[in-house]
Amino acid sequence: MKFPYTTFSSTTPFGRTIIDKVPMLKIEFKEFYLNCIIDTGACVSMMPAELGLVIGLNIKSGEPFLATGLDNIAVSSYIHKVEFYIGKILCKIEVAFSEKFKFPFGLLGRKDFFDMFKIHFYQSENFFELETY
Amino acid sequence: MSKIKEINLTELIKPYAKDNVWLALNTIQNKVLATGKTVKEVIDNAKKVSKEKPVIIKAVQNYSKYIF
Repeated sequence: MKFPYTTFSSTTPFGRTIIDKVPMLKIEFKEFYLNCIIDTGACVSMMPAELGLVIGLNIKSGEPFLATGLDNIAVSSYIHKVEFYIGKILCKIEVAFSEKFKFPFGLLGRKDFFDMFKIHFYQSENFFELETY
Repeated sequence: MSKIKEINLTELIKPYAKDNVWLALNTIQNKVLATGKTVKEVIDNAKKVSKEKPVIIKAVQNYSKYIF
């Protein structure tokens, strides 16, 4: 399955506006799609807690997990197995939900998701490709 | 391989970025169906105006904070 890259406007620390191109994938839940970035640097997938509530999870009933980012600050979160579709493929992966994770989209990290798909990036051609094992 | 057209959210998000709200986009992501302060609110608002399953993303002023 091929998917187009998505472009956003970003501002550098020096105030310059740049257009950033990212591998973003819309994953399908029952009532909505969520835009998620494919994040090769993330060990687990992460989503905001409020999204977990919408899909019917009791966030704090999950397995506690401390996620650490580039700034080395640990963010408390809870891991749940989450089901969604990409096209006709049912995905069931571990996702960490955190109230402190205020990202504007989801992150698809290596655990489970990268075990399900071979992911090929063709950035200069504006697309990426998912291939099941 | 030949290039394919990327999805450009730059102009679509710009009017909402200062408000820091969730957006419900149409499936091909070229139109904002609804906004909301929470994920639940934006989904509920989208249902009122469209039968289309919305694509959810939050409008922020600077995505570079989240993309490394």
